[in-house]
Amino acid sequence: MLLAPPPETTDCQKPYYIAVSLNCFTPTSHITIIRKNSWDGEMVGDFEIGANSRNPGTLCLRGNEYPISELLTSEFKVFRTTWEWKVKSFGPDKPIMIFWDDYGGGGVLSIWSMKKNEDAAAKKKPKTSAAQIRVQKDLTELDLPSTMQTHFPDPADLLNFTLTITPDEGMYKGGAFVFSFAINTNYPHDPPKVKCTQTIYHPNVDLEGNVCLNILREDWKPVLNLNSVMVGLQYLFLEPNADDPLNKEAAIEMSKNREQFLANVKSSMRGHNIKGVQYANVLVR
Amino acid sequence: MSTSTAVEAQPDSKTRRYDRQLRLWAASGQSALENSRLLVISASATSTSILKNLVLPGVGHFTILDPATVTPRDAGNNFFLEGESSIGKSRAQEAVRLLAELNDGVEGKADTSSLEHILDTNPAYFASYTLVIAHNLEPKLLERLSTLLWADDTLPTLVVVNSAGFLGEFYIQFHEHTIIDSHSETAPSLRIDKAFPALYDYSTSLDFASMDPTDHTHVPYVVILVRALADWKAAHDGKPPQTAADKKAFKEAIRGMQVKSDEENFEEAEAQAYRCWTETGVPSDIAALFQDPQLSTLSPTSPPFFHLLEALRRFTLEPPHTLPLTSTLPDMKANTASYIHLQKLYKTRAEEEKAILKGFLSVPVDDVLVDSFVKNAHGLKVLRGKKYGTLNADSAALASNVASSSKAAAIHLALSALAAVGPQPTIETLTVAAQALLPPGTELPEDFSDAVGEMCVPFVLCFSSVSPMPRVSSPNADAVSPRFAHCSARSPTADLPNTAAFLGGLVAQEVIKMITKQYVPISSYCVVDLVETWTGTI
Amino acid sequence: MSPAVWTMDVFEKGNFVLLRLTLPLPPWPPTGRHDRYYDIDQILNTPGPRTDPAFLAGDGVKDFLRNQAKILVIGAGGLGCEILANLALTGFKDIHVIDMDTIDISNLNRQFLFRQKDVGQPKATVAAEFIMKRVPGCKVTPYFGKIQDKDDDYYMQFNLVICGLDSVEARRWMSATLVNLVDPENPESLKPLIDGGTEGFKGQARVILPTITSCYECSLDMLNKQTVFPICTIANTPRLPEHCIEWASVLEWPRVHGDKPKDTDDPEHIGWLYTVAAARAKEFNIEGVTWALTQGVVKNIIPAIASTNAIIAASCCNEAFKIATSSAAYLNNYFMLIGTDGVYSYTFEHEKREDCPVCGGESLDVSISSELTLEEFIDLLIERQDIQIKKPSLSTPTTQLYLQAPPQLEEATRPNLKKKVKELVAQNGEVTVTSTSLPFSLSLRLRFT
Repeated sequence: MLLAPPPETTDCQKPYYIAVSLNCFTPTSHITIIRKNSWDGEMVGDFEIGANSRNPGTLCLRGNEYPISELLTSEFKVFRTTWEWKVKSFGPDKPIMIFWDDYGGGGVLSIWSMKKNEDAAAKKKPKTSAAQIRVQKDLTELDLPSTMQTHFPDPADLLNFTLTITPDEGMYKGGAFVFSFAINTNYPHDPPKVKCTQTIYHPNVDLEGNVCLNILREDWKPVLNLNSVMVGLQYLFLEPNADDPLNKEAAIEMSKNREQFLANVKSSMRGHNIKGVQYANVLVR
Repeated sequence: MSTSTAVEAQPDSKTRRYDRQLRLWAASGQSALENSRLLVISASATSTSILKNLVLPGVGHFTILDPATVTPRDAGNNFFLEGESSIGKSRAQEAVRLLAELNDGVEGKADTSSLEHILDTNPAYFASYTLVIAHNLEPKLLERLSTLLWADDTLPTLVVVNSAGFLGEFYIQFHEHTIIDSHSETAPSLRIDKAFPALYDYSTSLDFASMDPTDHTHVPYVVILVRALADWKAAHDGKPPQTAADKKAFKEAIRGMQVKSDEENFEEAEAQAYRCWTETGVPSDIAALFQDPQLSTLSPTSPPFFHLLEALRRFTLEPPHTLPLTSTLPDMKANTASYIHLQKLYKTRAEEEKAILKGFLSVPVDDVLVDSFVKNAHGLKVLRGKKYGTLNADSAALASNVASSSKAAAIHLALSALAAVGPQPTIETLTVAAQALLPPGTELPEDFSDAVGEMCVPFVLCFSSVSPMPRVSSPNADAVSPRFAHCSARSPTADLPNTAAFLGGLVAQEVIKMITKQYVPISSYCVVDLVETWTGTI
Repeated sequence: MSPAVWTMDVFEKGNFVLLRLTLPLPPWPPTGRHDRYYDIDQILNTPGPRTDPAFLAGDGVKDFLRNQAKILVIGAGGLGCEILANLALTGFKDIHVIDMDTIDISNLNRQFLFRQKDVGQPKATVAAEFIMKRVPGCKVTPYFGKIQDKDDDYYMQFNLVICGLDSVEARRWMSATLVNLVDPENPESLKPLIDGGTEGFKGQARVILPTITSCYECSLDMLNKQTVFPICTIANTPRLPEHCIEWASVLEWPRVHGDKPKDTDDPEHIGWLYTVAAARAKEFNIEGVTWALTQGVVKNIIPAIASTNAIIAASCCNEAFKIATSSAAYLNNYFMLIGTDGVYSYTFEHEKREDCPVCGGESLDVSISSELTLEEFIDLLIERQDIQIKKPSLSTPTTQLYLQAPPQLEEATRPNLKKKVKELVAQNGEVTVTSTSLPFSLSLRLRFT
């Protein structure tokens, strides 16, 4: 481990070498030995800190022994494990501060001067939110067949977009179905909000555009992603489920009178009116 | 549909005030709280912290018994004293004034007499209270008080709270505590293996084969299982699946009943299939209650709980040898009609069984109580307590606690020793006092030095490394030489605001459980260490 | 500050030299008998056996606690009220509190700084005034608003943050903000976050050292999943009263009221939902739709009582006190309490998640030439042996630099490839890289040479 002196210290040009080793008599206790210049250079000091000796012991500094309390003063910052080590010989006007940061569990050493870091404030940085990164990851790793296409009204806004599904088989073949995706900042804790933007005739999509897909509600988990949702949506057009419907009339038609149902699907896709409901023309133009 | 009728349905302001707690203990628990009377001895920071958490939810009455006047120290660490302006005034009166302000529905009273005087002159003083709480009470008075309150099981429950710095513990002294609604997290049996006639008939009458496919995916799993089990039994001499191979075959049979893959209700049935071969009987902890001494000496004046327990015992002697059915049906994949129908079958049967149980009652019991008893029969509890101090008088029991839960025992021993030694403890006096509680030759737990160290500072020995010798430090003075033994006070008397608040919350939770007779209170010491932030029991 | 004076005696025993350290002995009975901090000072005057070695008893620590420490409390509700009172009593004198809510009657069963007359007032303001009146010398600065209104400079001024919130979203934001605040070169940028939460008789408190220990995001999967019902059950096969209430709230409200937002604090709105739900329940023969249940379902009400809040808040404040004073070891790092059956608690170390999107991703400082184009920069990244990136997508906090997919976004960001990185990213600016070959993401800080 290497300890570099603070740059403004002129009389302390050389690096410190610090060894931290276990006390073989009390294995929960660590002995720290600090030397100058090299691993066998001049010993600057040592001290012991450990679970069983939580009260500071003594420190040997340039041949003289002192209670640690005379040399070590703790900084009452929230860093409880940061030690500020005052080296006596430099006098009070020129303190060198050596910090022993033990918060990570072992011997990370850094050196810090008392000078306030003026750059700190300048380093203010906007940060990408977890939701944003996750959406970037989900979107750039989408693995969609040619039957699905995303569209971003504002390419700079990754949180709001549409998905167009153009089934190439099944009863909904020939249609282009557009779903809106709205992702909030609590993604992926919250699922994306997905709605069908058109009025369509489908047992699992109601006339308001609500979609009955388990992973959009009760079965959503943060490990799922946008790809899973999109694949799930496409599946609804290949295998509509009449058993757990949202549009009950369509579902009844589908299970009781499949011919009529297929006819209704075709006619609704052309934008016809069925039983008083005006459907959207979704045919691919 | 008009909004005006709906607004009328909005609950009254008291219900709205208590909304967040009524969702836990309901109106019955609330009314128990409102009918309770508490006595709190001393208006320490810990005492007022406890009371705050009981005044807010609305206990009926509290009295603070404290002859002391407020010192700056009190004013500094007790939120229910008003800084400078309280200093010199009666501590009980100031605390009562500021606590009562929290809830108009609660009556508070300050009593500036001394406990000793009351014990000497008016032992009947305590009878009107439901529960008495004592914090850091001097051991001799505590002994007198606990003995007095133990004399008769109609006298109030006593909660003893002790704390010092980051450490604390409490104990509830009660004779007997019965709980109907323990808010048990285990669900009552649906009795699929012992289907009642209406459920059996309904399940076996369904024609799965010709059913509409949509209806087929909405048959509740309970019905599927009852049916599958009936079919199985018919083919297996009336026996349920027994071997691993049977169980596998049974699950396959369920899968075979599906008309298409991924029928969720059949998947649920398969997952719940164990219910068919796990025989529903009387749970062992409920059966154990039937041995309760109260049942053998049952008289018309016995508490209704035990009359109900006796009726329950007699109920379980009859076939099907189970607890009465409850009408709570979990949610399951089903359409509305089949689910509601099933729910009705359970409800009707539950009413019938409740009537049978009532027939076994030898005294009249309030219907609401019977309902609650039957509904919660699978979670009934009877707790029997011990007098405060029983553990410390039993050195063998203490020693076994030291062996089994040494960290908690260490804190208990340290606090017990501190109470015995008084406010100027040293390592030696505390060690001697703790050692005296244990059988001769028993070692104090390893963590004892840490615990007493919170009250006294152990000195540190260091073997120096001036020479290249290794150094060793030891908190154990005696190992080297007794003449180094030396200590200073850390916090033998500190009533820290955070510790007070922590204990205040824990004790109030237990008091609420005692008073409402809901949830399960602790029946041992609860020990708290706020250095490493953990709680334990001994 | 003056370090405590120790005396040391030297003894010889066999081959060993023994040093005896004597701690300063406070006079007994302590001279501060009449001091308001008599109890606290017993802790601060003397270390205990499990006290951190950095702790030096005496005036210095008291000075830090009472004159220097600045602490932020998020939330002035059930936990917040308790937290503020505890902090004030333990001697913190510069406390800030943020809360965006106003006081409701249902708060009064536990939020003990509020009275009936305060209903409708901002929680933060009323709580701050109450504390300052009750605990003389304590300054509480309220902010009635959202935590998101404040920037990094604001959060930078505090030594410690305590959260007593009921919202997952706000906690995620706070945790991520404090993680992002950490500048490895500035130890003061590390703000310990203490987080508490309760539900009925249960609760938890934890200490988060941003970037060092597991953060809030690391433990997201520990959250109890809120009950959500399938929308087709709500629409067609209701069985429970909750299904009827969800029907009214999720399907009927937007159908009838269009875009008009639903205000779950408005009794008229709850009344409407209740009436609609009750009518549906009647139609389906379902029992149990009540006003309280309706309100509980649509507001996702979590039962809350004063006692549990007291335990958890005390635990949070105790950690804050210990961390600020080093007077005792602090919680490592998660305390869980279950008070339904006896008193059960579990203290454990929640582990940091390597692939945590907030604190898990690696962060690298990269120096590049000012002349480098984005395309060349990406090639450089791909060539780097230490990070192993394939097909990286890059963005800054405000804009996308280059996304590999979907095609529309690739096309939209493609022109950037020819631009110099310096035109797209500021000096010391941050770039987030995602790629299938990364566990989650990589964060780069760019320096131009």
